[in-house]
Amino acid sequence: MSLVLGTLRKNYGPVQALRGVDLEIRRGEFFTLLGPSGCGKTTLLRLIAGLELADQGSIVHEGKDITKVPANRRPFNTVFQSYALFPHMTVQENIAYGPISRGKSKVDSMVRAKDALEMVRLQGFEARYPHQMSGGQRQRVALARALINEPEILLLDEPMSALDAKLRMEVQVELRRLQKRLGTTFVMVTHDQQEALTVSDRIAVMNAGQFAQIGPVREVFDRPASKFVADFLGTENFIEAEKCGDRLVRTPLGTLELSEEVPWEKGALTIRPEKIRLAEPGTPGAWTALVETALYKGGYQVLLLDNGLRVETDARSQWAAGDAVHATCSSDSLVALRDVD
Amino acid sequence: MRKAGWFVTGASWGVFAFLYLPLLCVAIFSLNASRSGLTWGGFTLDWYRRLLHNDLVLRAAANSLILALASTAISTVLGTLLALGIQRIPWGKRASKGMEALLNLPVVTPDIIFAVALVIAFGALRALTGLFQLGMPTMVVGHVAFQISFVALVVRSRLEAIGMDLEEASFDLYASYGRMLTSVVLPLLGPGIFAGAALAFTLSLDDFVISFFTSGPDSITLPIFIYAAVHRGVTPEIHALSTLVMLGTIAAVSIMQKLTARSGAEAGA
Amino acid sequence: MSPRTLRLRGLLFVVPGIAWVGAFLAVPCLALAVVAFAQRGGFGEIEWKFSFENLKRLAGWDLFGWSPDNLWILARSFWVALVSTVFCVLLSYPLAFFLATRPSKTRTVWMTMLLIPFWTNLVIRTYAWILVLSPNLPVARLLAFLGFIPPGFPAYPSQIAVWIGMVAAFLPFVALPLYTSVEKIDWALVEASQDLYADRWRSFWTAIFPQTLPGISVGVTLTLVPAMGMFVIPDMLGGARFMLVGNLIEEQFGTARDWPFGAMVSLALMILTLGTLMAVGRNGKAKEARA
Repeated sequence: MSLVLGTLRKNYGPVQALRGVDLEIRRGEFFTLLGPSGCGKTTLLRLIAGLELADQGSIVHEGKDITKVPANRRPFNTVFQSYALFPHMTVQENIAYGPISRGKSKVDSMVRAKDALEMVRLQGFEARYPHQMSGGQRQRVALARALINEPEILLLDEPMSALDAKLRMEVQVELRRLQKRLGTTFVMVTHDQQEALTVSDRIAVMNAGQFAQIGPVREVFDRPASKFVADFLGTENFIEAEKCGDRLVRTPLGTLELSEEVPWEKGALTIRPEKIRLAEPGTPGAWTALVETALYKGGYQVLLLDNGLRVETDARSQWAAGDAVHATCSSDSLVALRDVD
Repeated sequence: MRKAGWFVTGASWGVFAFLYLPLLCVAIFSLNASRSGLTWGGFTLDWYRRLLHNDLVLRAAANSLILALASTAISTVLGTLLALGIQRIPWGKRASKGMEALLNLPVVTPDIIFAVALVIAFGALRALTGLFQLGMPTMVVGHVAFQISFVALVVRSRLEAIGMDLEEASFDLYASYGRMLTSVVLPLLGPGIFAGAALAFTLSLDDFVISFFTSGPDSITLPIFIYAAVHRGVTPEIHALSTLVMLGTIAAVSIMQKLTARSGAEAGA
Repeated sequence: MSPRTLRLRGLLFVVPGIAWVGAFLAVPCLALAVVAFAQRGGFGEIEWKFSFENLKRLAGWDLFGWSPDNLWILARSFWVALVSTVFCVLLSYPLAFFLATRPSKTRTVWMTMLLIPFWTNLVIRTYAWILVLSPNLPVARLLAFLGFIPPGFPAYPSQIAVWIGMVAAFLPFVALPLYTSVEKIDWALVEASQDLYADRWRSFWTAIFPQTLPGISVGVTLTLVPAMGMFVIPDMLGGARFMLVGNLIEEQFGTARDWPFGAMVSLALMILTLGTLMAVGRNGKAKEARA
């Protein structure tokens, strides 16, 4: 277990940014904190970095309590949202800053900085100043500046929010590859769920200073624990349900079967739009609805049904408003939401 | 931006004329060979020449300069430290408010009250210690007292513009507080410190009221000299001296304008 | 690094500056209040006996009964400062708009033109008016010749000279902040008002004027307060008769050697200053909130 956070609490005046959270981050994983603005994810990251001190709680790294250790003595490095490159230093000087601060010789550090530039494919940029570079290039310098110190954990604060969409996708892939190659633990903060899905091993969805769900990416995505998590991850299909058997529920779509025991008397189910399977009329267990709007999305179609559900299907047959749809929901694609929060 | 109507343009020219008329008079009168200035006696640079030999004037000018340099040096250091201390440390609400008030006090206090307060302070200290006779040292103390605020305010606004990000990055990269100051904060703060120092220097050179109240017989500064001379009776030498001072001001203002224009362009790039 | 260690280090940074300002300005200002109620000894030293003498004297009671002289001085100082400020504002308006409409190439030149009098020493700027206003000197003679003023008219030393000197001295202090506000004006608001049938006057009052209030507020603070305590200008241009508060105070610390009375007058000025600052502050905030 690499990093253990115990009951961390942080207040800013009357605002409770973190309400006593517990978390374990494993060595070598890519862990992402996901949530809307104000949920406390950045606060948590800064507490790990040491840039803020917790009001209560503990941070233990590899068995050592580092709760009170100041930032400049923690073996972690941060890539800031604004990159925070020193404007009055060249790229090389920026990257060499960490090693020099730690006492390495200036000559040595500058040489290693040059090598670090190669790692992020910015050879030849040593003598440039940050204001002479593009956003994507600056981000790579920020990465190199952090990674040259071989930190135990690399912290990334919304590292891609300043990049345009296309660049963002490229960087996401690169980031994941880099992490796998280095084996360093990465902890990233983002509000973009696509980003979290692309790069992470495990994610934690946060809301109002607490964790809504923690788990491997697939698990959180396929089986969201609560309406909040489902909503945040882009699920729009919520089906009201009443328990009427061990694994059976009564819903507006008819009686449906779940793949595990129904956890409540009354609650909500969710199903991903692409998991709703269109079927032939008369298929057992199929329900019907009318298409309200049909949206063509290039490789696939999105059908908005009059019962409020959203279906994603391939573009083979053309659908139009007013068409009747027959569909089934398989039991392992239906998810019972635990907290209606 | 829209164009200015005839009223605005005419009025503005009028205002500029109003502002410059007296200054031009001084310059012209300084070249008038006739001592009384009642009539035009011919063009001459004599008055300027006599200035160069006037010991009192030279000493007053030297005093002004020494005073400005000494007080600026001290106040820049103290003001910068003050700005760093106020801006970067999480003080409680009451402490912050108190320091704010103290910081703004010199800026809103009328000159004369400031001067009176200083005289009283020096009087009290004189009674207690026998030191603090009015003279150059007391003038330096007095100038520093008002310069600190101006320096601190200028440096503080530059600190705010720099933002905390870079300092946090420096910490994140294992720098000690001292290294952070010397490698990141001070280099970036440089222009702000320079601007604060320039402001302090100018305020000191220009000051009359505070110097007047806290000076001793040996520490006349240029403005005090001119003031006393005018009371004795206006002479062309004073006009010459004033014209020289004005030329100095013009030079300084033009240089500062050029510098700010250039740094403005750089920052925009 | 706990907040406490940070604060201890912060104290190291902050204490020298604060101590300096505190010891030589803040504390003495408080001491003023104490000295104001002391008495003057026979040789001009301070006698530490509490008395209301100075307060009574300020209000006008002295050995010869009651005279409103001192109160007049206070009132006059405030009045002169107020009216000078108003004139400065009126004259600064066209100037600010003029500057704001200059193309950027010439704007620096015009700004420099405004900054030069701003930075020129007050003593020089003030005595320079003597040359303009003195009835025997060419300028006044020219104006008399042209019929602007009666010949021999003693424009200096006089009350008029003080008014002129004040306005000339403080004009740049109002013009510069006002220019900053004018430069930032959103002209779309003016166009909107014209689109809604407002005439020029109404457009000015409702769309332009409110946007310039921040600049006026700054300019007024920078002018009104120093103007109340001004002594150089009345001293050089007003002659012996036209005394303002600044002159009165200067007298007590100079020839009259009556520090306690000087402290009392200074106290009165401080209260006036505080009152003005609060009034402008509250007014400015209220108007800004509405604008």
